Amino acid sequence: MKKHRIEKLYILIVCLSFLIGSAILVNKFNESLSMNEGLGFIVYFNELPKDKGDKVSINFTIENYIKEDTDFRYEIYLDNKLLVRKDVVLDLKKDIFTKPGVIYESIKKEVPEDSPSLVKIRVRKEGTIREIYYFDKEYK
Amino acid sequence: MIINVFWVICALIFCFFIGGYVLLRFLIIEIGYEFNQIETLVFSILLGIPIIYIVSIILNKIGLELTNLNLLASFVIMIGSLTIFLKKIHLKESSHKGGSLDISFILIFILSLVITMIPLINNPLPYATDLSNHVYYIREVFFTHNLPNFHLPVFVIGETLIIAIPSIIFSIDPLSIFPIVILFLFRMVTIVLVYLLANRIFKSRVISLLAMLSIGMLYSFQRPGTIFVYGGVIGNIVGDALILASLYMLYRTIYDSEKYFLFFVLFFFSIVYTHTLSLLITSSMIMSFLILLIIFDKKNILYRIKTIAQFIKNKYFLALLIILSMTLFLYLPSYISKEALRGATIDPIMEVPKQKLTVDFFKEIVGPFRFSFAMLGLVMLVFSREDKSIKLFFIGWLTAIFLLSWDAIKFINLPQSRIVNYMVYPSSVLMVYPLKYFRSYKSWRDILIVSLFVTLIIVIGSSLPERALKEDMPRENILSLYHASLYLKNVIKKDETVLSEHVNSGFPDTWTKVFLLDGYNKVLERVYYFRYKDDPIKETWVMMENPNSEEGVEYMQKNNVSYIIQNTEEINKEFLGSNNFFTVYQGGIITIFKKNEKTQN
Repeated sequence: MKKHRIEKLYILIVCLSFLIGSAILVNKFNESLSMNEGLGFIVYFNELPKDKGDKVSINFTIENYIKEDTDFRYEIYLDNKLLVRKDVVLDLKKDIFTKPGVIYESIKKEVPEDSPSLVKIRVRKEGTIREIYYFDKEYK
Repeated sequence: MIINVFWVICALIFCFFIGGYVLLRFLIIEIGYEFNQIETLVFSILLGIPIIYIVSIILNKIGLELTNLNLLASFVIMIGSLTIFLKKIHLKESSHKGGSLDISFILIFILSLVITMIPLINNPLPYATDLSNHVYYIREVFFTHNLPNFHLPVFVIGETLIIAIPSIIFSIDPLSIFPIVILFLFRMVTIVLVYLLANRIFKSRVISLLAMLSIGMLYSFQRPGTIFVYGGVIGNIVGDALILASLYMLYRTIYDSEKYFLFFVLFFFSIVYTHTLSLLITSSMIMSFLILLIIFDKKNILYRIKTIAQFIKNKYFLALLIILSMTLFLYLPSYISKEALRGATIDPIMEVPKQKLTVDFFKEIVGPFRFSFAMLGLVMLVFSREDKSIKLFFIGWLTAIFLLSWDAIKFINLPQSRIVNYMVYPSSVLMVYPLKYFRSYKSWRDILIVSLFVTLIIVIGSSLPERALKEDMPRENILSLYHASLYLKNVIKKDETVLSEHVNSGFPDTWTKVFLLDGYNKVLERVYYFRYKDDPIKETWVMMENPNSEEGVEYMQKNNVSYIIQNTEEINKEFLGSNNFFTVYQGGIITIFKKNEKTQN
């Protein structure tokens, strides 16, 4: 009877050690998913720039995965002509799933007739540059 | 994507223990099986597989969706009715046989568990291509609550259901580590099954413990070990456990009692719904073993066939046959069709060169230490005074694998290494067989030799390859891909497709389709076209290399490519400064281009 009980205890140890192992793996996964280091910064259009009559509406996001309250400089070009230059301080993004703040810009169309109507956003941070662009003939 | 530990544990216990345990207890009491504690645990877990397959296929085919409520109700009804029945008959007898476990078993189990976990802890984020292909369909079932529509017959329903069903019942997103945890469970079950099989055959505690130590520790990372677990090779991992369980039950059927044939049928049925290669391997092993029995042990096998024929009339076996036949009638595995078989054998999409089988080839796959000792063990076994059954069993097992991997066998278009992988299991048992000659373990010489052997296994087993000790793919690359995929999910339209760099991209881009979940071919991956016969694959190469060429533009339109994923560090300059493409997303690792519809129409 005693041997039988000891065997039950052994079975329990086998099961528990596996379940503990699984729990460790799940925690490690959740922890890794929340990691926000090493991604640098990411820039993207939330939607492609829109023509609003005499203005172009630009809607984009900069996500900061570098450190707490980091300043970035972004520049908006319309057909390679600098129209906006701003410095922004962005919070460190907690993880890739948190909803980020979005930057909206509405800039006046000053597009030469023979240009390809190019909207370019350039973001700088300590020598690193990210650049996204879009062009549309309708911005003439 | 973040998952709850509590629900994961509940899913493991509920789906892979409770149902199987109740069914096993029922059969033990009704038919009179004899299993010890560890056998009860292992076979309860394995019985969860056919239960999941049968319940989900029948449920869906009678028109009910695979929602958590429907599945939970089906499981509870099944478990509840069996439990009520068990209570009514007052558990006539205790079927547990003692003497199966001791502290050395626990130590070896924990050692194997830890050595398996190390690479998994280092790679907690899913990124492997194989796993992504399976998780796509698993998520399809998870969200649509219906059986999946496979685009290729190589996908087998069981590989999807075994993870999709627990995910649905406990609302655990399969786009997580959950599939890997389930594979981890079956890897551990396989390790214990090697112990059970060795113990059953040799009836030696030391041999079975050492066989378990050998499979659990020695080359544990290599295929078919941990690398298959985090690689998401579901069919192989689950298939291996089912193969060993089938062989164990077959052995008991022939040399113990015909009633174990019921479990053999259940596990063989599970293989049919899990993995094509495992089915081929198991069928060949059984054929080979039976042929040897007919030649060398005719009297015994004919007697056993006669008793099996009588057992088939058992009411529970007949009920099982009806349920299995009904499942087969309702849903045949996708590979059972003339076209599918032709695709897998005669007319494959990928050419697989055959190589001559050499000792070095076997050593490389099985592991030099294991292979050498296994061959020694085989020779010693053949010339030993052991029972004929043991010799025939191992010769049959090895002959089947050898014949299937032989380069003269042309109709199987699979890498031979994938077949030779299956030699790891008999080799793990055979390699420790020579130690059986030190029967007493009382003299200092015997103890010293066995201790040296154990030390050698532990030392070699503990020295995991460098790859297992670090991240196989940097976490930031995986997270960047997850992020880019979430971005694409927000912006992509129904009829648009994504072209991905894939070859040497540096990030696991096959996972994008798992996030988008809008058709398996929503993401076209660039692959080396000379490996394949299909034209569309060649097109991906042209689109990625020469996107502005006439052909490139034509292929983009033909395939509805709207977004292109590239590595920021290695962007093809043809995408930059071209009026045909915009850059809409850029991070340090991934850049996404959008095709300019106006210039390319």
